[in-house]
Amino acid sequence: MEIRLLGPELEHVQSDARRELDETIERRKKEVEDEVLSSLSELASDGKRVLKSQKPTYEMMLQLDGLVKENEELFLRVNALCDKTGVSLNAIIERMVSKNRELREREAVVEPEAVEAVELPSADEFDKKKADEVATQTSTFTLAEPEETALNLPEIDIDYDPDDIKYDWQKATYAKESGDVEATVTTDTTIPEETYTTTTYEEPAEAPEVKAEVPTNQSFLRVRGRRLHSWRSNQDRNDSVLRVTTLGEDFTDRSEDYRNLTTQIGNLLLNYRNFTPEEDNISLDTLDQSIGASKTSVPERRRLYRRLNSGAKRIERYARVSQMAR
Amino acid sequence: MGIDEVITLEDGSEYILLLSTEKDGSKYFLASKYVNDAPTDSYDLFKELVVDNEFAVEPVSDETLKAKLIEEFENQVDAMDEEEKEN
Repeated sequence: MEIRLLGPELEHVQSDARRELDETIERRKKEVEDEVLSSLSELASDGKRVLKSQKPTYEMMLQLDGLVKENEELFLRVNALCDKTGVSLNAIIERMVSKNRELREREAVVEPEAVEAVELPSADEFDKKKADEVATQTSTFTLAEPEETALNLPEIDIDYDPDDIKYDWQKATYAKESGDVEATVTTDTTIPEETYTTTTYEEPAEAPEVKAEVPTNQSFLRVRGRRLHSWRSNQDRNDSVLRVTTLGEDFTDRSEDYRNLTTQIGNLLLNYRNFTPEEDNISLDTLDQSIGASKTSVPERRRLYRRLNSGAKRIERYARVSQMAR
Repeated sequence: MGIDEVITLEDGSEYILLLSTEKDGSKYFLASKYVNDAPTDSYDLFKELVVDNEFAVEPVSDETLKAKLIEEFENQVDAMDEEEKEN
């Protein structure tokens, strides 16, 4: 029997049915979504918990694989629901991903747990291990027995007292003070044992005198001391009186320092050699007058001497060599 | 031994070594007698000797050698004078 609903009543029923159907579909969609989200979140949470709590080991991989297999049925069911209800799985996954991203952003940065240190073998252990490996691979070989050597050297045992021997540097020869020096030679069976007795060293009749560069007439004088040329303090020099004799004229000068003495010698010698230093423009007459005239004061002489000589040390040596030449 | 050294001989006398030269493998010095820590106008030519690993001197008495040494020392002084003028 066919029931026909006509008119506005029919339209009202159709409209209500369509609305209920739409509402059921939306409700189911929401339920499916919530269920899928819950399942996937639980799955992700489990995976995350596994990743957080355990170091990446093979056991962890097995656990993750178990989770996937455990939820495989869930995925299949979700897919079936999606197909039945027309809910897009991709939309659900995108929603889940978005939600997880929000969760990650809210969560504090999780500090990774300390990774258990992997204990490596020590260098010694490693070397030992390598050595063991090498040892197992090393071939052993045996050296042939050495042949008998043709020469058997005798064992020599020399019995002597070092104190018996004395070296005399002056006489340039060895001398033996007393007793003989014996040397005992011990041999193996191939050589009969013998005892050797050295000949006695004889005292030389007369030790040769070795003295190079020494004259025989003892005309030399030994140098007992050497020191660098140094001058006394100014106070000491002021107290000293130096006498210079040349050209038959004596004069005494209380020198202030040795430089004055050398200039005196140099100037007197210049006069003797008839030498006029052009750079000082002082004539020999002036010099002679300065040296010989009693009216010329000692300071005046010194002044002239200083003007004549710029290099006192050179003039000093020049004067002495020239004096020797005289 | 070297120049500018004051040597004390075994008789107590002192000499200052002014110049030195070498001739025929021996070393010679022009020395001035050193009295009261000052040189004097007494000069000697010494030959350096080594006796028992110690220094000794022997006065040069040979006149020919003496003349040669003085000539050599004068040449040295002339050279020093030239150097002095250049400076």
